[in-house]
Amino acid sequence: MAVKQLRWLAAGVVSGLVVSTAHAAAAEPDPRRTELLAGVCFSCHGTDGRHGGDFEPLAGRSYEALQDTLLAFRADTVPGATVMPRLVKGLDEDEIRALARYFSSLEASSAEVSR
Amino acid sequence: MAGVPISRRAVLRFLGLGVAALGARGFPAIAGGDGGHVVVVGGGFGGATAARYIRRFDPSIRVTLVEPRARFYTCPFSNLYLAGLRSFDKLGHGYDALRRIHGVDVVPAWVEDVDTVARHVRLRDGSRLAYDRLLLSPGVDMDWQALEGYDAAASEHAPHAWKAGSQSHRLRRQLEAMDDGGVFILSAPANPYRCPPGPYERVSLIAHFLKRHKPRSKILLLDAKDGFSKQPLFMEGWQALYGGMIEWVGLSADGRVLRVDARRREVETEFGARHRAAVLNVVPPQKAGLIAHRAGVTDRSGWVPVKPETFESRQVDNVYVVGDATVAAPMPKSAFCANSQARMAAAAIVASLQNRAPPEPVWANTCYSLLAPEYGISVAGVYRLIDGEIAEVPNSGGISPLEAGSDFRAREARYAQRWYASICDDTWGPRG
Repeated sequence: MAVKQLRWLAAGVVSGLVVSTAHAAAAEPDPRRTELLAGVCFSCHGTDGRHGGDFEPLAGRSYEALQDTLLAFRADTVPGATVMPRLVKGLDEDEIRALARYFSSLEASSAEVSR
Repeated sequence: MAGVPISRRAVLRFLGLGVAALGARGFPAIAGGDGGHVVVVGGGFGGATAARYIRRFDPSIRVTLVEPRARFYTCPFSNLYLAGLRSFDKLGHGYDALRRIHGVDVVPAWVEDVDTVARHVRLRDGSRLAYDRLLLSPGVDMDWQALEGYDAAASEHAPHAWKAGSQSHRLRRQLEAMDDGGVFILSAPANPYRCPPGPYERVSLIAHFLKRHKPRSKILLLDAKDGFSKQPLFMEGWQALYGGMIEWVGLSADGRVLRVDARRREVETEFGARHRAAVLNVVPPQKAGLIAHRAGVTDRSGWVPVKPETFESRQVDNVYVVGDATVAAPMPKSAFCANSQARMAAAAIVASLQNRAPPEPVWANTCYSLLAPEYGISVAGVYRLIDGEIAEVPNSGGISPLEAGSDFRAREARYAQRWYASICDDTWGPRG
């Protein structure tokens, strides 16, 4: 297997997303980038987005639902929204899509916190 | 991309991470070792998060967390304890999950000193721990030189309660013993200090307690600054919830306390006004925790300057520092930021041990404050490197809206509770 393919495979396993061509073309593509970006969400939505309660669990929701919700927060069209519009305005659309891919690729389950 | 070499070992490490994650539930965690050794000093939001995430990012790295206390009691939500709204026990978090699930070697010891040339830390019993990378998350110490009349002995009479523990119990007992009609005084410091909205949440929740149990009492908040975090929201909420019970006196109105007589529970302000309290709570100026000074990473400000892209010390190689001890403005000294910085520093340390470039950082903050059990407000922000400095992303972040309905405030109060559970889980693992 070519080195390039190995790298893509590794990226897919670790972060559960397919690195976009734009990102892959960057000087130092880092498969951890999206996982770290998602980390911003963990502090409220739980590690890997796996806690429910008053916050939406994120892991295992569909790509479309996640992307649409985040874009709606960003456009200020979610009535009664609290901190999410303020936070999502700090992200660009590529990052929103990467987050949607990341969380939709995770299994919803697990009462136990994953590593 | 073609120009970037990648080793077979690095690929296997990435693949191995997935396997280790699958094995996490049923099998003992792998202790690691061949990927290097990281020593983490301090088991609060910064240190515990960093230890966990270094192991997550690369299980071949051995991580030793040195923390003298068996349980860590959080400052977040300690104001609820002071107001009689949460048990102290529920502020405590242990290290079993870090050991058991994440394979962190937790050493219950006090780090006495750091030799950053030989790269080891010396424990109080004289033993040494060698490190490849060191991460300090020392939190804050009170600066006992900064405020005349206020030192450790004085804090026995006029508690700061700015670290959750015996000081919190002392302040709680004093509030319980206070006569109805007494004056509670809180002296708040100038920036920077741990938890910018903390003093204001504290007087809010104490007002909630006094309104129910000692309704003739008053609260005087003497402040060394003219503005504070979420100020319009606090002001609005104080008026709505507590009428005139809370009086805030800012710097320009002679709010800055210059001298403390803790035994008399009396303070003197810049222009000579004296105020006597039934219960006096002095939140003094602060500085980075002691071990940061020992490691030589603090500057003249008493805080720790870091390279923002990694949170490695600007002054000492291979020593990373996260949390309240660092100079990371405009990020506030909050638990959320410590957790966020620690996750990013963990990735930077792993990259450094793997001879890779650090990932591009992004950090966030969300601070909830409770003005009453059903009344919450928030401030949020996203931070990135802009021209080499930490900066808030333009047109993002900000505070809750003014004049929101009670539903909105109640929802943010519930979110605050949920945030606490989630961030503690992300930091220490399932509560044990």
